[in-house]
Amino acid sequence: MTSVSDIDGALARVEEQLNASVGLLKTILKDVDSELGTIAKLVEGSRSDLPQKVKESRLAIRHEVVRGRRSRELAIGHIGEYRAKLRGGVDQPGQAARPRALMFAGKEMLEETGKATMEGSGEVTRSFVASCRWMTNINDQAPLFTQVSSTQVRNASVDVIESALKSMAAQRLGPLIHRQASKLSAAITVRSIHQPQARTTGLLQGVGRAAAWLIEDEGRSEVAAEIAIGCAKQLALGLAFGGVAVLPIAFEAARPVVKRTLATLATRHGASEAMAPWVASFGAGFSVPGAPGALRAVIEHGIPSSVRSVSPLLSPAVRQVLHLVDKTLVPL
Amino acid sequence: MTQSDPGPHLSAAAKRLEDHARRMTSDRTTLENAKRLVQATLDGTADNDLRTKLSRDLDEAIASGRAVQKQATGLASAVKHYRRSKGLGL
Repeated sequence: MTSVSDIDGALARVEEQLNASVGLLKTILKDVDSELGTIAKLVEGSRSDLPQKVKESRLAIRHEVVRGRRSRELAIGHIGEYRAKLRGGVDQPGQAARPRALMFAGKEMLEETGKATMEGSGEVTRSFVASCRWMTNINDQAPLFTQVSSTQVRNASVDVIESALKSMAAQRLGPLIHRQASKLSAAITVRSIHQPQARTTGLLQGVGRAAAWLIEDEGRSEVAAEIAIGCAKQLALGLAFGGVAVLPIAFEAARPVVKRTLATLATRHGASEAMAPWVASFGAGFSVPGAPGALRAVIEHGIPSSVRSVSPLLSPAVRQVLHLVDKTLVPL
Repeated sequence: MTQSDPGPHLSAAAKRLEDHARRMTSDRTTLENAKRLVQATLDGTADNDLRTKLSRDLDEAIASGRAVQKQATGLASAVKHYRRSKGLGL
């Protein structure tokens, strides 16, 4: 029978090969893109059908590269999770298994939003995807995540999300995006005070640039975008402020909300207005230090009755979060 | 590089596209080997779920790699054909 260390070793080799393969795909996409640009310029004005073919090929290659990266990264995630399980770490917060599993969960969420976007649920989903970009960026700030494949998660969404930002600008969602970006920036600033990191500053600048770019447009579909951003914020801030132990809980708590919001938005855009305030509040709740612990209590003890029973034991800040969570989850 | 004589450049571009296609072929072989390794490693163990998931992911990875290769090859051919049909350069 194959030993655990044999399995682990074999999977490690496969993981390494997959990582190399992802690298190759990225290089190929960059090189081919540049090649196709050169070809298009060379034959421009020739009335040949080649430029059209170049355009189609570029799109097809991009699509396949995205698909290829996704499947490779999914495989890497599965292997990572499984190897962590082999090492017996999944049940112990703080061990290497956690971040890998969490990043994988984040990728799955991006997958879901990506699919929804492709299925045509429109601007709202695209906005959400843009928010996920921030989420993954924030993940990347945490020292914990620098040890794992946060880059893979971020890269998986870059193309989609950049087009989402452009799409939002085209749809004139500027003021709203700016408002949300400002809140997010403020939250990140708090974090950066405690853990100054050059990359956090870089992220702030990135958000600021996106906001500056988008604010020039007039807003519409605000409510929908607010929900989308609120959901992402919920994840992002939960992760940014949470410790290792709470991360899985934050994720697990957020997933159904995100799914539900997406489903609602996809099927009945009008219904989303009522959901906006509590989603936004829930997101804001995560920005309060201690929120992760409060959420853990909520998860462990239930909502809403036991929230009240545990709240006297908690600090004012945590009670505030509990109140928000209690209030905001009831509509679900 | 001049617009008046794009032939050699097109020829080089087509060659580079073919090189990329070849690299994808090699990558596909690597992935196919990886799939076999996963299957052999997990065969007979109680980890069928992982085996199934990884096989599915790797199948899709292989298929996408094949599609990229096909597109790059097809475009290289189209570029060559274009160059010949226009009587451009080498």
